[in-house]
Amino acid sequence: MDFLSLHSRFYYGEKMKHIKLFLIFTSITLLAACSSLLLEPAQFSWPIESVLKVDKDGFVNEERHSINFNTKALFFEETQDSLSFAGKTLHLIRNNEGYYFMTSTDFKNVYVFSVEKNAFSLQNTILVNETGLSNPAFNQRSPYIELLDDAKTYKLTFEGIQEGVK
Amino acid sequence: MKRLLINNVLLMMFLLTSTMLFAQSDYEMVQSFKERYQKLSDGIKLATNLEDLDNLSLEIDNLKRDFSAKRGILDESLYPENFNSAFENLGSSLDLRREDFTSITVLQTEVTTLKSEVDLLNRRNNELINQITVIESQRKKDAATIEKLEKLVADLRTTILKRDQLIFSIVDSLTPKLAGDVSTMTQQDKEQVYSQVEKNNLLAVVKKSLRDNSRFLEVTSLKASDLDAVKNEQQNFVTMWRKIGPKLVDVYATKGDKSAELKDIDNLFNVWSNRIRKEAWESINEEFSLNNINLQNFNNGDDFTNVLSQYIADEIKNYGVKSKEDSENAYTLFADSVWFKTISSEWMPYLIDNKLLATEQKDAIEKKISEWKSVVSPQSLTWLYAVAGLAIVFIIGLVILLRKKKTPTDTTQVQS
Repeated sequence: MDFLSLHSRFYYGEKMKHIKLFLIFTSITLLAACSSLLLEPAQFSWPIESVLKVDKDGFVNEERHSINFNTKALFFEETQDSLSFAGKTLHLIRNNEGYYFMTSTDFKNVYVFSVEKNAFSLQNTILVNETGLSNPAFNQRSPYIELLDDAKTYKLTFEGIQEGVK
Repeated sequence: MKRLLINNVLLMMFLLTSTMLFAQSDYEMVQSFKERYQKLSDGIKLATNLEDLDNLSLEIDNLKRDFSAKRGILDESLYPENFNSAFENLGSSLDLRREDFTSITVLQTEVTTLKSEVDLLNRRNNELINQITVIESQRKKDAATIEKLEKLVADLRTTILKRDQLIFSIVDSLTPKLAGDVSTMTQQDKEQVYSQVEKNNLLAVVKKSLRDNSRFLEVTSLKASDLDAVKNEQQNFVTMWRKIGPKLVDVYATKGDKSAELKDIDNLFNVWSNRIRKEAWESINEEFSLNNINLQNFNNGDDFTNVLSQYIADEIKNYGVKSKEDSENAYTLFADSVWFKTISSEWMPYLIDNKLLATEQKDAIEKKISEWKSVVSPQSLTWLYAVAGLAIVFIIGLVILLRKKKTPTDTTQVQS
């Protein structure tokens, strides 16, 4: 092995080492930049449901938590009737994880929403009663949301009914 | 067997009830609590006596007991209050309202005491008025009788004043609600004021006082300073009545015959005012009578001026008919013993200040008195004769002196 070949091997070996270090450093920096800051644990549950009167334009206003939104699309989704919101009341509660559960009298389903920018985004539709709920009410029974309908009780999570009718 | 069946039914009912109980909506439970809470809160405001508050206190205890098992969820749901602070608020409201009633009870006790004092003073006033009437009716009044009369009048004045002050206190105690705007009073407030006024017989007490004050003026003959005090007293009464009278009219608006009683009071105020006006003229007339000067009655400034001017004119006309001594005595009695001594110095400021007599009228009477004086005791001319005599003597003396000075000059001229 002559001097030149020895020099060439040493030179390229060092260069590769530098490239590897650079790649590792860049990867770590990129990974750190991609991860978000988490504040946990957090609990979002409301102690009791809110029973909200739907106004003539389809809006409901929850004063204690300062929430105001339009329910027309929800009533249309449930009934396929664009005017079915008139004179109705909406039952609304938030569970520990932060999902919002909504239903109303004569609804067959409970709708589970999460929050997006200026909107509620539907996460799940839970079919509860094929004939419609006659007198629904939510209770906070962490980790569940308890749905009462007359004498029937359902335990709900955002994924669906966890326990059947009592 | 039958017993077993009953037990089963009871067990089923218990289970069903338990299920229903467990299946209760938290929202409805909280709403039920809030409704009962609100009812109790309103009940405290609307309570009319301590007994109502005692009953409410028991209901508050029941509410607390009924919902103590739900304390946790109520703590979270009653934001910004919680279970304990909600009951603390009810307790505070209850205590405050209880203090209101305690104060009212104390005030009512005070009013009852004041009312019995007023009754006592009313009886005393009647006795004094009767005694004064008897003495006034006696034709002859010796010094002892006059002294007794004056003492009785002073006593009566004191008791009337004291009684009126008590009436003011009763009005103050009974009508705290009348202090504000009566149009904002609810029908319930008006009923409360009405029942308080009726319970304490306030209108009758005020009427009695007004009548007594008028009667006092009827049976007594007052000096100007006394009448000033009476007028002040009347003004205080008028001020008090103006404050509550129109409001009571509103409160009594639906009470028919009772509202007539308020009109009576207004009339009695007018009677009293007229009586005070009349009292001044009667007292002045009596002042002349006491000095055996009998004048016609007068009730106003014009009459007074006319009667006195006529009396003086008659006396001037009678000069020469009556003896000179009688005429002079009549003038002295009228002018020196009555007019300048009492009327002009004591009554005139009262009459003019209260616009019962104009300054021009006073000047007219005094001008008449001056005329009378010039007739009764014309100015003596002796001093005029003396001055004229002295002047003549002075002139004669001056002439003689001048002549004496002239004579020696003529002699000198002859010699030269």
